[in-house]
Amino acid sequence: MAFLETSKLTKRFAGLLAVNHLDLTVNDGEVLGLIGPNGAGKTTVFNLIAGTIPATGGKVIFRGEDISRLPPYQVARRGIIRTFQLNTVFPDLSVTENVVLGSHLQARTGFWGELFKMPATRRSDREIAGRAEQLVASVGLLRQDMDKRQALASNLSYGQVKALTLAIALAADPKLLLLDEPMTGVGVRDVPRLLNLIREINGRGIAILLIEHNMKAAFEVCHRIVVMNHGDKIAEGTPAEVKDNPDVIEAYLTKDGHGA
Amino acid sequence: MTKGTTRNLSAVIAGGIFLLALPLFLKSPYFLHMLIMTMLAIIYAVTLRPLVITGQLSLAHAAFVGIGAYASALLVTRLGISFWLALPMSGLIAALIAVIIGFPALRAKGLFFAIVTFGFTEVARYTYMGVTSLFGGPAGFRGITPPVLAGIQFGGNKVAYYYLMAFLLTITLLAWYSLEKSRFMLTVRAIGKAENLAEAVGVNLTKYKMVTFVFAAFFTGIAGSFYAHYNLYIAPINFSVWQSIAFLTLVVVGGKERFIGPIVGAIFLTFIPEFLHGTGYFQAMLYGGLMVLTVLFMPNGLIGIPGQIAALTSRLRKVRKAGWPFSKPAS
Repeated sequence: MAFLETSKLTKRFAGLLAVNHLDLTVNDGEVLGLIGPNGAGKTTVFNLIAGTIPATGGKVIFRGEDISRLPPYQVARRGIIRTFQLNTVFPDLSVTENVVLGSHLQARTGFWGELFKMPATRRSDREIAGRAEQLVASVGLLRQDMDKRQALASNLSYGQVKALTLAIALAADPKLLLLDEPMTGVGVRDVPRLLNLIREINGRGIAILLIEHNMKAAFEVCHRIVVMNHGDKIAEGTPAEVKDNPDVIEAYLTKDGHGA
Repeated sequence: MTKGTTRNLSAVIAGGIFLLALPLFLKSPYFLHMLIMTMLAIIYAVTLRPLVITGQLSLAHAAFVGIGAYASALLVTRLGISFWLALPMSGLIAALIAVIIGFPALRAKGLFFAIVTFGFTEVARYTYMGVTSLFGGPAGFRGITPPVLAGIQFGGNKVAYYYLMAFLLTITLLAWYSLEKSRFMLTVRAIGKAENLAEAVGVNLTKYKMVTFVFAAFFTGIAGSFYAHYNLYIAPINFSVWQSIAFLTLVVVGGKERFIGPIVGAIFLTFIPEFLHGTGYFQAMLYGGLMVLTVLFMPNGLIGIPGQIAALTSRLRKVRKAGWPFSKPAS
């Protein structure tokens, strides 16, 4: 059975058909790449799956459950955690605080427990803080100078911000990660490190749906790739199959400049 | 962290003892009145701050003061309920109404939320003005009785009021400070920084905004009840949108980033203008002017000034080291 499945997923913005009857399947444990020229509708697909915007038509099925009408926090509760192109971390909060926020769903106490500082709350907070420390280290963030974990997220370098983005998402204990262009803006030397990190996350049994503009990176890390153009799925297959598909070459050539 | 907490705790204890002892030395009713009004303003500002942090500019704060005040006045004078019971009940009534209007209102963000809460405050005010039989109409609600506690008459007894207010303020500050260091407030701050990201990791935005809104209304309603039985007379004009804007000013001018910010703002803007013999007009001008100055030059409010000065001096030092004006300043 498919892990995540969209059937005839459609989004129309006024006159623009952003996503057109898209059938997409993510299998359990897989890294699926979603590529295509600018304006192909990739991020819209993420927004539809995550419940950020309502679909015009079609369905999103996750582990046998129809999640098409759920609000974003309910989708997150089911185990689908997304990242963003912008607003990837909480600025002006420390690195650790960022990761603690990612663990929101793991916290087992509510408002009254926190107001009255119940022992269960303190225990839960301690556990979460401990896990946050581990996660910060596990994404290779600031291993050299641990003091900086108290540093504000806004002071990190671009590559470090990307790593922190992943740490926040991992803290939410995802079953499926939706990564929106994790390589964009990352220095050339950091790309292999991020790829390794994505592979390692996948190795923990987390399925990944990945939007990426860096073709070389996408072909390297994805098991399968879906290519979109103007809201339509134009190709699907292994990286090797997709690379030589004439429709894909055509789509990229007419848009010029996004191939790598 | 522990060192900071201990220091904070000793500061709080020292402040508490100072406030408790104050009426022993200062018996001027005028001065006590000013202190009471300042403490009320602190309650309004501290409870409003988390909402401002989430980006929900509430103009309903004065409405909840009014709801608490009118509810308490009615409960005591019409139903003969003891003030000591009416006090918490007013908070609960304000909180209940906050739940009812919060559901539709909190769907709106930023400016739209401000407009919805503006409307709510005006509806509440016109209700007091229109339903004369119950609320006394534009002339206001007269004949509110002062509290009595174990034979102590509060009427004309500013010291008794002072201690009651100090008690209410302490409870309010303890509750909100307890939340300040919790994951709850961390989440509230996160919502203010990046709402979409918070939602993507599973934060129910509406729930957090609702809890902040309702919890604030509870304490504000209690403060309103106190106000009614302190002033012994309330009128619709006391609970207008302008009052709500004044509360927002306390938070913004004081600085919303830290717990102490709205407290500083409330003290600065209630206490000091009064000593400048401010008339109503002067005060309104001061509020407006300070709001503009703060937004333009002090993004972190009054509490941000030391940090700004430190940043400025360190920059000056760097510039001097670089040999300004003869060489290029280090940036």
